[in-house]
Amino acid sequence: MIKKKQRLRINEPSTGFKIFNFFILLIITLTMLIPLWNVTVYSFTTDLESYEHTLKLWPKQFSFAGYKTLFESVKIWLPFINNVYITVIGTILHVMVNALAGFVLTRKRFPGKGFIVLIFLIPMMIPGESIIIPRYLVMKQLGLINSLWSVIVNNIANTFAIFLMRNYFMSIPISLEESAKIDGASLFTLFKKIYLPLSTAGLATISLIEMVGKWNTLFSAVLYINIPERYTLQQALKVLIVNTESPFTSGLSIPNNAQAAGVIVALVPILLFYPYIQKYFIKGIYLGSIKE
Amino acid sequence: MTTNYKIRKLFPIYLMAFPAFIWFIIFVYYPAILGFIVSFQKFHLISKNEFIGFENYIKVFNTPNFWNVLINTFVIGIFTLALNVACPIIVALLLNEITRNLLKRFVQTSIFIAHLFSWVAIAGIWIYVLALDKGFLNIFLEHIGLHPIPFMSSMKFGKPLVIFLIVWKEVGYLSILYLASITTINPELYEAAVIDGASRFKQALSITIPSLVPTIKVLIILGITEMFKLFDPIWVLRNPGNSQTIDTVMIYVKLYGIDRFQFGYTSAISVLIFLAILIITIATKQGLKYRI
Repeated sequence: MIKKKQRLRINEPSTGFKIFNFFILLIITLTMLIPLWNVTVYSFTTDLESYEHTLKLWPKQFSFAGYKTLFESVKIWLPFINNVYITVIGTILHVMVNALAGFVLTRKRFPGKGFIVLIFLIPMMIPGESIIIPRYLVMKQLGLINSLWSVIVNNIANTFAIFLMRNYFMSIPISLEESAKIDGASLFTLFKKIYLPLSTAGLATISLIEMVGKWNTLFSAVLYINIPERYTLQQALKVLIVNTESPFTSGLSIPNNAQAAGVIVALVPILLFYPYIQKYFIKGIYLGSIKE
Repeated sequence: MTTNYKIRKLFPIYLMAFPAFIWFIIFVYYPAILGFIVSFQKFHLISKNEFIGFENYIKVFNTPNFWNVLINTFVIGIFTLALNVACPIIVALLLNEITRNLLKRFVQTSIFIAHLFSWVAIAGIWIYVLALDKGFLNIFLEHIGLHPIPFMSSMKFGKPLVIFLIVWKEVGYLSILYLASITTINPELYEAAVIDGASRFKQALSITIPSLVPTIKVLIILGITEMFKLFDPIWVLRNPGNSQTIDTVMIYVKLYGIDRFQFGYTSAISVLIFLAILIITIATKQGLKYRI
């Protein structure tokens, strides 16, 4: 303890450096927070005030008019529900499929294991982006174009998630499995009763990564979905915020407070889950980079 | 062991691997092969496709527009990678100097969060900072008697805008990665340096940065091919004013393949992208002498 204190004193930075350091970090933090705060305040202004363009630090008059326009005139709830749908279903399928596949890889030698591992590993070398055209043709053959299922199905199995789950499962003591086997547990029971409950951190990691990914999906939605009724939230907001002329807004002129409210609607679910996300995201990337 | 017993034992294993297995077949292997075949064909929507040899590939190299987007992709990709490696190191070094934990957490939290935002939200946030009519920065410039700058709709600011926003989004996240590796450095190294009379700057230069090299290598290998996947940021930021300078290969593939049904031509591009990613990744790994 004494030693630690001495160490800290020796290596203490000078006051000048401390102030410099603080100042630089303050600027960086403000570059992050001010634009975000500005748009948040915009979303709570009245229609009229939202046309006065200044840096907005506080609304003159607090108002939900933007949100009202967004949900009543623009009907953002439709893409919002679509987005919830693809995020929930997509994440559940992603977790189930990859957890099962990861579990298979923990089994001791069985005929065909090498082949299965190979089939799971090779896709890491084929980025989805390099096969988007043929994948589009496959979606077409499956009749999924303009269906939300095209977005859901787009990233179900994932090599990274499979191996992450495998690593979590491998860390569970084999003795647990052996004693359950003596009690006559089947493979599915083992998976459900022992492996899944003991790897909640792994499950949280892959589900949060996938959740954020699905919620923010733009690319695959732009590729596979063309009709406004099926737009995902990001697609609809892109139209609303960036180019205001499109069939989705059908010629409505969108006040700035509604546009800003759109940004906030896209961010709210992320902000709600933020504490969990922060915890597990870093972990996931670490395991990922070790594996690479 | 009878065959019957073997099958009973193996069947659940295969069943569990099946969903991921079939997904990879349908959405990775089949498209990869299909894309390769289509790249040698003239694609007809209704009638049968005909083989035309390397015509699509020749067309790729003969299209001036393609060279333009390829150059855009490289320029944006290289600058983004360089800044995404360098900036987070600086932020991590500064963060590491903060001794008060609460402050450190606050800064970390506020700069990490942008990593989770969708590109649509980011465009929405920055429109209110940089746009010609709405952005507070331009309003401020006008206020002090300067001309407003068309950051979001001009050729000149196209690439810098994209690069800046990507770095803005990722810097917090990447700096946390670096910070995590900084904390694993043996503190005795710093003590020895202090005793030798090394300044703080010297310590960072000869202890901290060298020990970050493995992390830097991983980030370069993972990041070097990201340029070929660039879609979302460009899609939300492009407009007639700047699309010429920021359109990337992915945008080009989307516009020509999916919007104009030139599946053969764009499949050829995809095959070339795949090869480029493969070669660049191998070359980078060799160049950095990275093995695992």
